[in-house]
Amino acid sequence: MSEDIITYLEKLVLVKFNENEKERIRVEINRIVDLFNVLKNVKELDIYEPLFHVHEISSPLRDDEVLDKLDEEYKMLKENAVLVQGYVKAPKTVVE
Amino acid sequence: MSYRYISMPVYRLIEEFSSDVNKIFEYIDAIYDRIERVENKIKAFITIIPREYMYNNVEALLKKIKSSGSAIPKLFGVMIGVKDNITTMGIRTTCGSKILENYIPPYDATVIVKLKNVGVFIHGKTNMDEFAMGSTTETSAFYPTRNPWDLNRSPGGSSGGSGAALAAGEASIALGSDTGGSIRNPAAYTMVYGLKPTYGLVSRFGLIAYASSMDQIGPMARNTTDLALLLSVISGNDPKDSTSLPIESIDYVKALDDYMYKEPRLRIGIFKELFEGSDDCVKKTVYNSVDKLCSYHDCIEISMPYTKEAVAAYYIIAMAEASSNLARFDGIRYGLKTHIDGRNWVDVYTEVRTKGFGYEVKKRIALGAYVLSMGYRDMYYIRALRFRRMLREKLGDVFNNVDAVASPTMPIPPPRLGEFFEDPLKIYLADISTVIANLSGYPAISIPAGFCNNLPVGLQLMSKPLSESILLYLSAQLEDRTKLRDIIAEV
Repeated sequence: MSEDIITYLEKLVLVKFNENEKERIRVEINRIVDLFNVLKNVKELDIYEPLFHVHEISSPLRDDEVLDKLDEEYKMLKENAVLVQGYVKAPKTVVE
Repeated sequence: MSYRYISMPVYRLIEEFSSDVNKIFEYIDAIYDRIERVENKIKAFITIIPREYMYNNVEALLKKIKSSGSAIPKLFGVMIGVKDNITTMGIRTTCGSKILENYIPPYDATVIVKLKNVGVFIHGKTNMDEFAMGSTTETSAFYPTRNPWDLNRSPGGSSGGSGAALAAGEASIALGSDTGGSIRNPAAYTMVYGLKPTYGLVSRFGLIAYASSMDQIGPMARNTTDLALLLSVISGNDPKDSTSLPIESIDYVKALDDYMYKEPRLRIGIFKELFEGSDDCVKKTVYNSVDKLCSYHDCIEISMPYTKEAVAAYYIIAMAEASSNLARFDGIRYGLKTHIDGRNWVDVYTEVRTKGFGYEVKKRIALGAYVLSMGYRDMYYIRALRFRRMLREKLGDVFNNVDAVASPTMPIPPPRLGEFFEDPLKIYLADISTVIANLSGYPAISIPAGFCNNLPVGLQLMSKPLSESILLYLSAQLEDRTKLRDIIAEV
């Protein structure tokens, strides 16, 4: 596991390892990947489909529930929206 | 007088409280006195609700119930320790992580709603490995929890705080979560009972995710009946959890009583490879407890190779799912924050996540990204998922011939604190017995088997999906024979 790969992974998951951690993780990841590699020896796996989920569900959705309450709220939003060049300006959500 | 409340099982507590509801306040004092006495040594909790708040809450609710004329809820007054990855409205929920150090959820997890509906009060949030990534409760950003049976040793993890609180008498019942053994491991290491339910039996709504296809909340207790009682409350379909099974909760205490009355003779498979791979003392202690069951039930040896491969597949899948689940922690909507003006989002997210996550979490999400990345996804992630299907099919074949499969819960006794720092692979491989149930979605229980050089050892039983009653039956039978119930460690 080269330092380039560690740097690439840092970018993928948006974390940084300090110098001590980098050395430690390089050694540990190599050993852990050796563990992962034992799966290569299980030859019969190719006949099996991947099991993503034990219940084999696929995005179950609730039925839509039509409500008619939104009219007043929609009217209030529409009347109070701040428009900038045709776009609605949203309030800040990040408190400084 | 108050010491009896510390070790009293919940099914007796509710009898006491129903005869005199004011005994709840003696019980509250007993538990909090115990916490004051031992918590400094054990560190089972991250957050403890103040005693006065508990009094006021109980008094207020009692008054409300009396004035409304409604019946006092079944478990009214019982206090529970809740693992700190289960959201509790208004009570800090940290996942053992700095990134959520001051996060106060605006909602309750479904299991918490269900507990409150039957009158249970939360008195503390228990310590855990950070984001449930660990097996010793040492990766917690706050402090490690110590094993009440030997303060120099780990109580296991990641629900180590819950296990330790029970063993030390700081809680009567507790909730944990189990993704790769995190209920059963600490149950085994602290001489308590812990159950990982069938995947989908207990709602995950409000459980802060680690690996969503394997995470399950489950009960922990000092005896089988309390385990059954707690499971009855928290289980059942939840429309807020799309992976929740379409079944209602059953009364597991009644089901247990029925089994104990009828005492059916079952077939138990002794898992050869998992016994062979265990420490000699652990093997001997667990065999002794299995013999107690086999004197009545039919026991046969079963063999399933690929136990090490199961560990590999588990960690590949868990790390991959974790890298996705933890992407939400970016310092914008909740959690640890940093200044953002004039900065690009990559720098802001990276700074927050680097400061907020511990080393083990960073390592696992990096590895998760690795196994999902181009060129490696088929080699690792997809291959692990193929293994998962193969394992589930082979397990199905095993359960055509047996009703339960027995093995040591953990192959080694509780490790010393810091023992695995130099060799983390050793602790990953210690999950060899427990991960099979998580990969397949099958239920499994850890039952106290005995002591090995004065250290707790657990027996694990696994069964088919939705066969929790069988596990509870076998647990109760063994409990009757060993008398290893309601034990509090001398701290």
